[in-house]
Amino acid sequence: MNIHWIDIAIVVVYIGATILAGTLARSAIKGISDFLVAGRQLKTNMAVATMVSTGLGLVTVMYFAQEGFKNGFAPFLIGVMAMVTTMIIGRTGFIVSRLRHLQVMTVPEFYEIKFSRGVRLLGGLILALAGILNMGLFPIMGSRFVVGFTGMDPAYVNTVMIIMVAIVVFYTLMGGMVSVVLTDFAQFLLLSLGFLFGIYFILDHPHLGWTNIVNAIETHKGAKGFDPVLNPDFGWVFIIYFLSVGLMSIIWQPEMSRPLSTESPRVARRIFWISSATTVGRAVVPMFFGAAAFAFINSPHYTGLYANHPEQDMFAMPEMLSQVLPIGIAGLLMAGMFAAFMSTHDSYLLAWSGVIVRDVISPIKAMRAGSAGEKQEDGTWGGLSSAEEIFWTRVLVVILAIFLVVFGMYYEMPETAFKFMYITGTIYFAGAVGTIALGLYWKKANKVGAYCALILGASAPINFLVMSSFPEHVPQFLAPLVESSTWPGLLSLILGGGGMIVGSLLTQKSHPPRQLDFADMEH
Amino acid sequence: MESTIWKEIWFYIFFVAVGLFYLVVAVVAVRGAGDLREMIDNMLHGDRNANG
Repeated sequence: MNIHWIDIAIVVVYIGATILAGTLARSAIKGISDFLVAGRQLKTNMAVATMVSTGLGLVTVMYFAQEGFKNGFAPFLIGVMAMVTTMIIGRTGFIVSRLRHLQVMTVPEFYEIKFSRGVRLLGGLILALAGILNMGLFPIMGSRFVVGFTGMDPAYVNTVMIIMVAIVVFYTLMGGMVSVVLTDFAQFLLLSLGFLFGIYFILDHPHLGWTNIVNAIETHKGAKGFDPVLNPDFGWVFIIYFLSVGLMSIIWQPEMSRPLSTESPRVARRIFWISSATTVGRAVVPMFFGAAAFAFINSPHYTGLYANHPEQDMFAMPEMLSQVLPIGIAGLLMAGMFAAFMSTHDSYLLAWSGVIVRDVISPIKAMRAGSAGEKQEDGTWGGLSSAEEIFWTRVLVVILAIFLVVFGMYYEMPETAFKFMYITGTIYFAGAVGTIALGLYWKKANKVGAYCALILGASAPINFLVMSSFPEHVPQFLAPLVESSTWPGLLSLILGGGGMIVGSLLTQKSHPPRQLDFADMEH
Repeated sequence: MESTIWKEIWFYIFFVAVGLFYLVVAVVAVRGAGDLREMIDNMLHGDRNANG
């Protein structure tokens, strides 16, 4: 083992405190709005802490570190682009203010208000599919961090994954969004502190430091380790795709559940503005850790386990941190990383379970019962009752957790983890360009356009995921759609937006669009 | 662009980004703790947000 018993003790104390907090949070759950959006009680600072925490999960740290390991400093551009899109949203309130004003708990709920129950059902299914696939690698990557950091035999990676997921499921079941907020805040503090120490000890290390890391990247990767335009993993097409997706990624349910949990549309917008100052740091610090791990593993002094390991890009960063950090600080970072693992998993499990229950199961029940589809006082829509929605959300949390464990054990991703996250997310984002962005801001958006946007938008990324699993059967002329996820991603955004425009314009008379009133919205 | 220039750019972006990140962390940690306590108190005592 790489770590001292004091470090293990710090982690155990943190896990114990978390389980206790989750258990206590159960008493705060009195209805579905408490469970899914914490009773819409979040104020600005708390909402910023919890949103930054969700965007800085252990998986995010791992996939950004993998980018740094593979591409050096060039992926730093991702952080800069993320800051630009977050600032635009923070200044304009693009999408977030209007959705918060409509008091929805899940994004597809908006589809029923603007379009129809059928669109909500389809949107909920696509969102859940994209979200669950997107989350598929989370547990295994978290487990790889723990194994790499502790120096455990990599053969234990699945066992560690099961234990970690079981802990997350327990306290998510207990306290829902209240648990999420509590762990997010703990993660926010612990991981920030751990990062600070990590940066200091890497910069201060005799075999690392800024100059040695830059030299290692230059020696092994050349100019493409610094120039994102020259680097074939990035380039102009990726930049355009990322900026477009960046503006739409706010409607990702786990991200959006934060602004939807705030006390007003104004606070919903402000948390993006404040958190934009953290977006570059959240990306470049883990990427710097990855680049440092690359320098570490290629140093003549390296004596670790992963010199020739096929997954060294995943294991090298945690191993490097465990070697560089002193006793106590390693435990602090490990607890922070475990908190990051938990806070992302609980957010996502809750978000996707909530979407399946509120936007798929409940509307089906309402349709079968012939309900009029009007929002009730308790936030339900005439399908399941509030208590039933909480019960089924909890059941779904368990089912999804089991699926994630199995998926993590057997799935092999086609590209880097970062690219996998983006292409699976695009299954939903692409349709959302039409249904949400145009649905909120274009008066002619109607339900036929919404169906076209959802179906066309999902087609290109699903096609990529299927074809890239069987590349030997793909015809030559379709090869560009399999070699990289960038082109299918960009294509899907165009199809999603175009589908809404064409579908709506052709059916304005047969399906007149519903109009929404934002005149009294607080800015 | 020359890779030397990119190296300079990433050097400054890294340290400015880290500075900004910790500025927000410090402010939010202090103020957010009060928000958190208030939110839990409200939920435990059944006080709901009037904004829905």
